[in-house]
Amino acid sequence: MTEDPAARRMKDDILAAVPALRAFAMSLSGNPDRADDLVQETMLKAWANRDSFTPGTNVSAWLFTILRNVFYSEHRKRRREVEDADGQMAARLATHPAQEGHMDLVDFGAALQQLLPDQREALILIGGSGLSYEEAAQICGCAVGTIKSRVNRARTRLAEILAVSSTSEFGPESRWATALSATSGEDRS
Amino acid sequence: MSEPINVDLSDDTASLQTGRPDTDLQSHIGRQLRAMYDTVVNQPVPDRFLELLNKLDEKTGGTKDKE
Repeated sequence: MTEDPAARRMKDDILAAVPALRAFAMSLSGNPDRADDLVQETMLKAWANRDSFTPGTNVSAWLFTILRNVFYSEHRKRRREVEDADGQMAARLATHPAQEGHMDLVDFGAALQQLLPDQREALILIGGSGLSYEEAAQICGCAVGTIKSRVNRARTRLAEILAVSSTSEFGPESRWATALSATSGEDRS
Repeated sequence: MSEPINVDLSDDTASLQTGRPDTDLQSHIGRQLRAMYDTVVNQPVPDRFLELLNKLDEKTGGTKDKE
């Protein structure tokens, strides 16, 4: 049985991309099991649609786009099924930071989950995966400028979450609190 | 400690935020993002994915029918 060389190549490309896909899925979903399920779904979809891929173009970006689409359709389904536990946590952080008292430094992954999905994914693609703005824009189906502003907003929001959650009391000895108070007076557009 | 932003990764995103004094926190964020990513990307490919790829290949029989 002769294997179609294009199929062979696609299989190799998918396999080579699995680590990066897992890392992206992990950061997107914040959950290792869900992340690997996302990757599996992505591989199945990619294989089923392999004829729609133009050889010579960026196969990684193509796979990331598929994974992203899978994540968002699942995300929409899950939002209807599951109570938004993350949202509750975010609300607690926003309204009672000092009273959280002995809340330790919030796990960075948990803080990341507080971000809106479009901000989170932009931040991960640029800051985690190290993709270019052009690649990230292609994957997210938006303009480069949009990616940049999402990354900026993500960084700002993340800084706020980390600063607030790392202080049991909002005192001057907290370096994050100092950083936060230093920026709070700025006019940020 | 307000040195210029010199994060090796996502440098241009940090520099877009001109005049941000909280460079420590942004550097921390950059490192955490990278660490999260690197941790997973350096893991070996789980068996379930290798097996899946093999199954896919067998099922379609190498698309020879499309010739």
